[in-house]
Amino acid sequence: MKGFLTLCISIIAFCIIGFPVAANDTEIADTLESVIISAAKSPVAYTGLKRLDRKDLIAGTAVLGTPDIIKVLQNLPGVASGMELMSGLYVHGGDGSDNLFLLDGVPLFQVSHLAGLFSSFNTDIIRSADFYKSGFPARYGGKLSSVVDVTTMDGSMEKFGGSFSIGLIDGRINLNGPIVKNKLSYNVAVRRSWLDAITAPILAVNNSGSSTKTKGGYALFDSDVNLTYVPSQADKINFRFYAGTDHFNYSKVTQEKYYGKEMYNTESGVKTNIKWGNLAASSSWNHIFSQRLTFFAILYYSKGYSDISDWQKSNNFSDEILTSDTFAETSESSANAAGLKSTLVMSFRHHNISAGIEYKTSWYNPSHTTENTKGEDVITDSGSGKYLSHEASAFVEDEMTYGPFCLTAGIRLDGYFTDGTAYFRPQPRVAASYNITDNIIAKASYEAMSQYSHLLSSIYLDLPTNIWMPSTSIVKPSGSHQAAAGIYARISKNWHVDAGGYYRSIRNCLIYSGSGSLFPPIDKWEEEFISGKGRSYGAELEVKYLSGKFLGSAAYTLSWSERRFDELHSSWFRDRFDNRHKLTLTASYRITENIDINATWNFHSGNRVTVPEHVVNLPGTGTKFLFSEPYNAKMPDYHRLDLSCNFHKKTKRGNESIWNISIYNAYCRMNPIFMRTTMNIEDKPVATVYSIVPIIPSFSYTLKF
Amino acid sequence: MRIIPAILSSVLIIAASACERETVLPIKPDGGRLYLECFPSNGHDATYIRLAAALPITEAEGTKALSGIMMDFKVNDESFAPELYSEDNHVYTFIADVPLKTGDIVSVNAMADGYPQIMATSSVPHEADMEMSREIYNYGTLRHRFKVKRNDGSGQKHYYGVAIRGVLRMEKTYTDPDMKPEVEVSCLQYDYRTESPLKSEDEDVLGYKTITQCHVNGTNIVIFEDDGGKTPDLEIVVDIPYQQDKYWVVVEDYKIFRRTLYNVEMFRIPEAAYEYLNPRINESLLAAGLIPPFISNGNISGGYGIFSCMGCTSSGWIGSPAQ
Repeated sequence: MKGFLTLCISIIAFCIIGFPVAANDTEIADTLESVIISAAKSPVAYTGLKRLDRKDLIAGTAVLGTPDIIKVLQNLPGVASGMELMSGLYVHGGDGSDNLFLLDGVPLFQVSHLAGLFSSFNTDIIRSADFYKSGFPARYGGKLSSVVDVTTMDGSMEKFGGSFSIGLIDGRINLNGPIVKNKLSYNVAVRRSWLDAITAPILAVNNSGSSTKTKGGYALFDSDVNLTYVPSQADKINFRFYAGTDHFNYSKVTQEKYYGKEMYNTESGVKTNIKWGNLAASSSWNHIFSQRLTFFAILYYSKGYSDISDWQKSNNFSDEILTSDTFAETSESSANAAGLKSTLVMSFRHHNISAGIEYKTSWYNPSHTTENTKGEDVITDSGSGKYLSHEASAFVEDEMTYGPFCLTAGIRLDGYFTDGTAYFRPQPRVAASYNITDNIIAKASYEAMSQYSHLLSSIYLDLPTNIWMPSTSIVKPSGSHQAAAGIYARISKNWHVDAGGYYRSIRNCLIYSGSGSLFPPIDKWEEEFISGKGRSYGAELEVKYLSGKFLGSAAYTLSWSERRFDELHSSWFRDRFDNRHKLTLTASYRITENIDINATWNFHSGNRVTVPEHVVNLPGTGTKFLFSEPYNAKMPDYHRLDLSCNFHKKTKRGNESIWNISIYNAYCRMNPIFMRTTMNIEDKPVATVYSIVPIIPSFSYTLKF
Repeated sequence: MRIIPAILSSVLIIAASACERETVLPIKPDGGRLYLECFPSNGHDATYIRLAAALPITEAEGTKALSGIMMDFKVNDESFAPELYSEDNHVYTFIADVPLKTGDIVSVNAMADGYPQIMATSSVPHEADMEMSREIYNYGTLRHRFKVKRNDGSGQKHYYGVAIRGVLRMEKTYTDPDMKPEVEVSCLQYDYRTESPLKSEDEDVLGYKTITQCHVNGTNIVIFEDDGGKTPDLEIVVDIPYQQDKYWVVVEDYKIFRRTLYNVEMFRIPEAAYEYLNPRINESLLAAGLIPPFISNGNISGGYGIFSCMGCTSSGWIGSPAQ
């Protein structure tokens, strides 16, 4: 092999460093001698780590033609997927807002589009994703339940390339290549939906000939930009930018003419514009000081925001005079974080020590409302104003390897300062593994985690009205302890078994009680948080069969997830996604070199809902439904089969094209999403389940060049 | 790729048929429970206790009679046996003739054949520090405007209830000095609207109200919450129609004077009782599992309902200005 290659060296779950290497086959060997290749533990030696590469992300069923990393994670054992089609990630009894999503080391506030239907991660640019549900390394902190550490690809230093994809509701384009060969490269990925392009002509036809014009549409937009600069073999500098936006607009405006003392041409109606999303920008530097010492630093900024504007105008024509009432309101909210994190990794014979510091400042503007009534600007800062918090952390971790025994011991020390209050949270992390034989590994871990930001969401949907708020002197940080243990066995060349169990307790877990309002009441949000406890425990089993053409796996979870909020209920009650059983079967078969088929079957016990248990009839009050405890009933079990088929083809120019045909919910199981209990016409209570997701076939076309 | 249009067509057909369906109730209650509702307060000679059977939702068919009812009403550990006052469609109202005062510890204990025993305890809170005034104004028709101003110090959140009761007195006096005057008294109930300077931040599409009207002890009562003490002087205005006092009947032998008296009571309500009376949930969203399970279970151990004392401040009976 002649020419330049990029050799990527990955220090497990830390960072990936790319080196431009001038090489042919023999030269590679020579070059390798000059850098460190440290043998990393396989992910199977960690209790809760799952490493997904690009192949894993795009092999599964693409819902509406769009592959989605979170939909892949939802299939893993120990993870409850929540409501159907949503991007919920409820890990080991978590509440969905306690997952640390990192995009190239930058924490994101919002990770989904369209109320949770799609995740914000564009798979075109993702290199890999490390998903931790236990055994968290000390470098991660700030959230309780899981870590999703997504790494994007650097652009090629050698040649221009990219891909173009078109799916049922969106299109994606990815371009990458060198700016200065072997020094500076770019990688740009853009995704945009075109639902608005479909609705616009339909509405235009509907509006034709009418004085009332209705317009509306929804669009999501993602853009990722990576610039990679390699000034020397020991250095790599990255500049990364991400912007994800959802935009919804609706207007219904009537053109009106009035003939009085003069002629009036005016309009009346309503306009609504909602825009929300996430911005992230970072600059990172990898440096190799020596064969034993590497350094990594990142400076980042992240912002989650939502802007909602509303305009209403009505006209009153009397006594040949036109008067108009106009009301316009704009409400803005945002959560911002800026931070600096640096890590030093030292490698010795038996020790691999990483240590670092992180400082993050977060500022929150929960609501800023501007009202304009008949031309008067009234600026109101709703509620309690802005919040500022500072988070300083130091962490150190030593991965010790002595023969078959490996112990990773570390600690993370957090200092959190806000609202005149300081919280100090030491969080020990320990993980161990022991190779019983060459094919069997026993593993265990323990960790403590803390969380300092909380999601104000009065409804279980990922809406732009949701707001992030910091811990304060009243709202205490949440914390959790988790212990996990397991065993990995490679029974034969083809059969692999990974089994484990976990127990997790959560203290000061919070539930937001602003449930009467779609817009969380900002002025008294601290009063509305109810503090409680949580516990979750279970067992997980994953069996894999790997052969040349056929890959199959079965993942089973037996779990319990409970909550206790004394203000709500006097004893422990089952959590919303206390899915006792969960089973995921996947199979992938390569029929020919150009055709592969994939199937995934999901089953889990039904989600829990709160339904009335008794009923009483009172004079003057009427029928009153009575509830014994929260989440006292289980909806029907959930199961679903997804199928997909990929057709690979070489174009005349030698590029690869892929047709993907996916069928979500292939046998059209109408899984219930909601359940209501009502009285029927005979005054008898009935339960009604609502299922809104039928079979959804979709396709996408991808051209790689 | 001719398969794609065929698949899409079939999807549209199937999606159109996807909607809702009835299913078996996913819950099996192990029997009925007792439901008790009682709001004892100072300033009243009697306490009314409502007791009914809460039936399992799987077999709910109207109401069910209770038998073998035993009830114990205790004030500061001293027992009083409530008497059955009325029964309306298997809802039993008991009355306990015990005057209460601030700080009293009140408890109730009830049982009936076939139902688990229930019990609850509450203490009478301090009454609100408040002033009441009344004015009469013309708004097309004459109306009373009662202004209730609470002067509780700022910094702490409180919950209140306002009840206005009226008494219509028909005072009959005879021309013959030997005949004694007669008085016929009837009670008046009002459905009134309330306005408050406390701005409701939450009243939006989901329908949570910071001011609402409910029925307590047979009386309409408006309950509301303050703003956590940020506004030190809270004023709440209650509008009700005004009936001028006047001679109703004047004949040769006698004349009848119609007089209306009003009593404004302001209650300090514990938070639990407020949330029970004004549950801040949208039941449809709760049932759909779309909001957290903030269900108002009350405080009855072993059953359902609410037993919560209120601190009462009364204006006393006040007449019309002309009188």
